[in-house]
Amino acid sequence: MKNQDTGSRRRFLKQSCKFAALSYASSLGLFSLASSRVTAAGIDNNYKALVYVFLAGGNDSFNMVAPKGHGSLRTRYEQGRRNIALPSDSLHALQLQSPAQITGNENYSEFGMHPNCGDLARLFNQKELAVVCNVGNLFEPTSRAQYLSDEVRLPPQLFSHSDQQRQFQSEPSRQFRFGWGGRLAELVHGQNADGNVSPLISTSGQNAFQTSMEGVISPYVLKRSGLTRLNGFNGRRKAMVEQIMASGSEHHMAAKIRQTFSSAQIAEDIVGNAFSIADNNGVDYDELFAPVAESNIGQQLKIVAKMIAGKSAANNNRPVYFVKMGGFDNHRNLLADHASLMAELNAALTSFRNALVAQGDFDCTLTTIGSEFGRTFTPNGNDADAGTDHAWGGNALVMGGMVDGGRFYGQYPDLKLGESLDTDRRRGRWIPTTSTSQYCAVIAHWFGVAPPQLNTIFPSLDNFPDPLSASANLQFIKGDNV
Amino acid sequence: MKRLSLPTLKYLLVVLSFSFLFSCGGGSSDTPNTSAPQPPSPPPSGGTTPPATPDITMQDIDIIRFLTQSTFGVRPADYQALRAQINADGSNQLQVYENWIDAQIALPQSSMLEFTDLSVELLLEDNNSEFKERRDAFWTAAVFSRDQLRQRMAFALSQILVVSETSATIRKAYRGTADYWDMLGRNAFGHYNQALLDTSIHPIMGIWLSHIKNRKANPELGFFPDENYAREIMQLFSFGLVHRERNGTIKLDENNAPIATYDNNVIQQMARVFTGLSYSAQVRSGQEVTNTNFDLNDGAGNNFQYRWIHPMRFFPQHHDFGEKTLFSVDETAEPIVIPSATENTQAAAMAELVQVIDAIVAHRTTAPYIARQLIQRFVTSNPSANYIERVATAFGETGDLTATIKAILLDPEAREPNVLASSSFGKAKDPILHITALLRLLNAHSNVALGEQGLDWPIATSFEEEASWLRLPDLAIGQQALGAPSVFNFFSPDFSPSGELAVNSLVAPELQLMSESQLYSTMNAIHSILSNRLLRGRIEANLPFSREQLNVSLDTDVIENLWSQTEGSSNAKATAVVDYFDLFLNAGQLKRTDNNLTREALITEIAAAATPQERASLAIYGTMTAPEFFIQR
Repeated sequence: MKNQDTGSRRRFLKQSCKFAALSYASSLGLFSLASSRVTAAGIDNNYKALVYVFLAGGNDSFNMVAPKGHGSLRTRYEQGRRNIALPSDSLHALQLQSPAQITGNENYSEFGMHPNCGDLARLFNQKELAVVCNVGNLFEPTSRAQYLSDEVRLPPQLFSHSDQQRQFQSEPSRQFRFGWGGRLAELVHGQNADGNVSPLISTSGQNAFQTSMEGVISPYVLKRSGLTRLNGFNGRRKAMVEQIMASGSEHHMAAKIRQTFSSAQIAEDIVGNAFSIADNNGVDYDELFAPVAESNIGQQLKIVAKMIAGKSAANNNRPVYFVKMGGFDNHRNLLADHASLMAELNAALTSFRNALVAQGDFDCTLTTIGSEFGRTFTPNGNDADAGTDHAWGGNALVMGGMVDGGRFYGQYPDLKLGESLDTDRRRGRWIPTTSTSQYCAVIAHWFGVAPPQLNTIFPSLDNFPDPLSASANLQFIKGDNV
Repeated sequence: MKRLSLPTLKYLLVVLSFSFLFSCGGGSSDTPNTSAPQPPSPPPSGGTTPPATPDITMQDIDIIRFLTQSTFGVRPADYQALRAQINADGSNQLQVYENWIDAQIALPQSSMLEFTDLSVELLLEDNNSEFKERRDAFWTAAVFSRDQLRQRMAFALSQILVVSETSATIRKAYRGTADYWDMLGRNAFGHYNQALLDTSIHPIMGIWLSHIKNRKANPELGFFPDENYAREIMQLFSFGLVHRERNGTIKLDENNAPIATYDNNVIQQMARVFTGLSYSAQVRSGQEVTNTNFDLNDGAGNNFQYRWIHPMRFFPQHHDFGEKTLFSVDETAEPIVIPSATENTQAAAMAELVQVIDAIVAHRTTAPYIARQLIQRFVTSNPSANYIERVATAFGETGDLTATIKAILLDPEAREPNVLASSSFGKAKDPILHITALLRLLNAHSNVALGEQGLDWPIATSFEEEASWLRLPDLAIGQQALGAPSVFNFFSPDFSPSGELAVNSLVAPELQLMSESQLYSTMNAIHSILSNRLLRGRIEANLPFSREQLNVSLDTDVIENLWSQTEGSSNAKATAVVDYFDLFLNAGQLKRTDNNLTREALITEIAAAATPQERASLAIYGTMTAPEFFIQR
């Protein structure tokens, strides 16, 4: 194994191209801490990490960010939500740096976050977090009249989990081929040219978001418990398996398994080194993540924080992380179940933020939190365990040092049932006022994709006002960070 | 089927291995499945190449393939039984298979609920982990039940009509969950419309997709029926999102766009059908009586298990009896209209439900949509349009599942030997089936027999004579029966891994699970099986059995017998061992394709092993982790 100098380093992208021919003998072997310090030169001052937190099942985000006070919006909130309305006093007040835009040009500025999101409200008020209001999958700008008269192109299979998840993670205007995270990694590949491991890292399995267009870059999937190593893998067993894995494959599916094994072996040492770096940087991750030690998403975000801390091992300047939290399909028991989800999300994101600040990566790590759709504004029962059904627009969050926080972006809906943005007569399925593609394009632009290239990720972007223009009200990245 | 005692079985294993190594098995040529065997191409190097042995016939390979497709793993005795029948009466091979299917259908069902109840009874106290007994009931049935095909069908249906233990209530309501499995098994060879009806009124599904205690709309109070089940019964359990031809291809409109099968108005109408259902049983003063409380809580502790094994019933006061305009059976038909009920009774609500379920299953797209998924579960991930059409035709308007399973397993495409040369035919094995194949081949067993020498349970008759209680740990193989992460199952039927598969527009659903960390975890699970740790960690104090008695182990004698009874060099001996595993776990494909590097690696290392234990360990670990063995062709 000769990988002590950068010249002989095997590079992930190049390896990826010839996965089929890759044998264990040519894999990296032990990548010592000493040698990863040599490679640290590869990480430049312009390092940026994107952390995509997907809330699966349809987050009831109008209870995550809800009107407070006594005005018109609050009245409509209570009339619509009835038994699932959160009391105004229980919401954590948000101090908006500028007035929120409300559909229909209403004026309203009293909002709060879910009673269990006190820390997130504090981050908002510290201007580290922003809300992107009423975003959702759209083909083109859509009004209620157009929707009801069928005069507009709509994303296929609205309100279906699987389809809307795929679209939310890619683009609704054409058949799925790649996710926007996967395409993003391809477009910024120059920044990851010296990477030792895939720049696409998932702590929650295979996903649409990280599917690349050319198929050369595949996500590396970590378990939330961290790195999995092989047990009892030595001697004749190791020799046997390595030779088997280095053999050719007659069947495509066997080839895929061989490729996965190869990728696992390459990444094992790199990821191990990243964790070693994190374990020696003076940040006490166990302490910082103690409040979410048992939480699935807490464990995922802990792994991501450590991978970012150990960035010199992976040596990618533009990694894209996928994190998923499930349980949001609250057709029943919304108040209780959503409350525990919000508490968990609040604690996990806060721990993550604190870790990033401690390791000095908060300013270069953008975390976005979204869900495939919002939920019906009206409940599906009048009992204590009533829930809500699949809807459309919802509120997303963006967090990081580069975020112009403490503001609402896009438009918050006017919450009028049976008119304005409601697709229904009375269920409150809000038509999104900002498309997923618009808000994600702003993030892709921050990540390094030039404006003319944005529509190669999001073809439907051309149907909407420029997301980078002031009129779109999506300038959630501070001016000097773009 | 002739019953074999354990010693006989072991003897047979050895004999069998010789029969395929040194004879051609007298393969007849009166079926389409006996095209000329492909001789191995010459080995590239002389060093570790085994001596040439006569090839097994394509007929042998087909028998193994058939049993791989239809059971939880090929046992030499089952293979031999089919082989003997074909040899003895010289009958058409397909007819022998069909007779086997008929015999399987006729076997009594092995019940997960009865098994779970019996094992929970042994625990003598609540320990809040009764659900683990239910999980073990699955493993024991998979390995030892005689009604293998019925259990495979239940497993397949459980991946379409998905419920999951990821819900804490479903995990705790273990009797209901076991009963749900049995319900799928009961309907395995019946009709899909009955299966879907039973699914729709099962309280486990009621809690999973939240239509239990769903009330009709009350606009004044501002609430509307839950749309969850209404959506998934159409999207996932029957016809899916878009209209299809009978061969599964998507129908297109004049703009070349797929045609949606429903919109959200239909969902809202359909949601009204599933209003008014709640638990049908309640215990009052120690007596189980008809439940009259629509809002009965979802108790799933041991005192409430009874609630989960009775189908839900309609409470007329909460059911919406109004007219409903639903979907159209194809893109040209008028929507189905359910008229208002003439009387608002429980029976009228039920009659409406039956009518709706029948219409859902008769929808023109249901047959191809379900047929394709069932083919994917048993035979291949990428069936041809014609194959789908043939199975969809057998499925028909009511979902005849006996005709369907025969159409799937006996189809020319499933039996065609030339598919073995294809680089895409077949499927990645379900992780569970990958493991059960090993457990069955090497007769995994504990020392606690189900029959008279041990537990003496009455249900032992529905299991093989040598069946024993398998209390397994949860294996981190990425799949657990009735444990999918969501209603979308463990993987999507359309998942296409990046690379060659995606480039060729091929799907490989099971590979959605196969991430780097999962592959390592699976390899570690195989390591743990070999480390003699095949036992649940905690042994309940009340169990009248010791750790030693409950420990699950594999019979590796067969490996040693093959070794010692094969003449010649270590390589020759190792070759016999590798070919044995290759035949039963991989339908002889390693040998057939002459995948020299993989086969050589196995032979070389096994030949060099220092001890019998190491030989067995290398043979099992090597074959179970070789990529070819993850694939069923």
